[in-house]
Amino acid sequence: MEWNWQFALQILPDLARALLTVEITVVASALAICGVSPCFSCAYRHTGRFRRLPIVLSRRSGISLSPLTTGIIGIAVYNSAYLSEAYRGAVLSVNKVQIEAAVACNLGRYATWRYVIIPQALPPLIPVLGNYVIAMLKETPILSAITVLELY
Amino acid sequence: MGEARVIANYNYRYLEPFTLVGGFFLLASIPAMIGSRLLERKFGQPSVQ
Repeated sequence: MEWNWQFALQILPDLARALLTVEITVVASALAICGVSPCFSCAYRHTGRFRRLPIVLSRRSGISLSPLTTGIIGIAVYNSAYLSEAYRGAVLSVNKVQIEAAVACNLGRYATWRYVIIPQALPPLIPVLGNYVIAMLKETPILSAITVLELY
Repeated sequence: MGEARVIANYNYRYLEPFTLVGGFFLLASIPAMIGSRLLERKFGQPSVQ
């Protein structure tokens, strides 16, 4: 089969219409990074349950939502289970002495997290978050299984 | 199914739609990678020289 430039240019506007992929990635990433992953980090017991689930099944929630919403929630929840482990690892990488020092300085629980733990846990987390955002972008074609007409 | 698959099945031409989609995913992942690198440079750990 030979490459046909005329056909490629002809279908380009149709493909450009399906830039839903970017939208799905942005919303799912925001949801996963800011919302669901910290919740999963707190509810460690449920992390394994979602990590064992095949990615296609995570889209079949059984709740009546639009395919797009279901897909975004599915991608966000599925990746959050993995992201929460990255969050946990980053928090565990903070030296325990730092937390003891914060307690010794009479910092409260919130202040310890805000000024001691999170500023030290965030830098090693950034490359991992970038990886997950790109992974979410590449996972969006699976949404075609639930009739979301995205790019691939 | 996805837009590219619909176009490919409709026209019986698979090379162009899927190649363009591959190019799009490459183009979309490069800014994400650059953004991640910039964030890492600004807020991340200093790299080992």
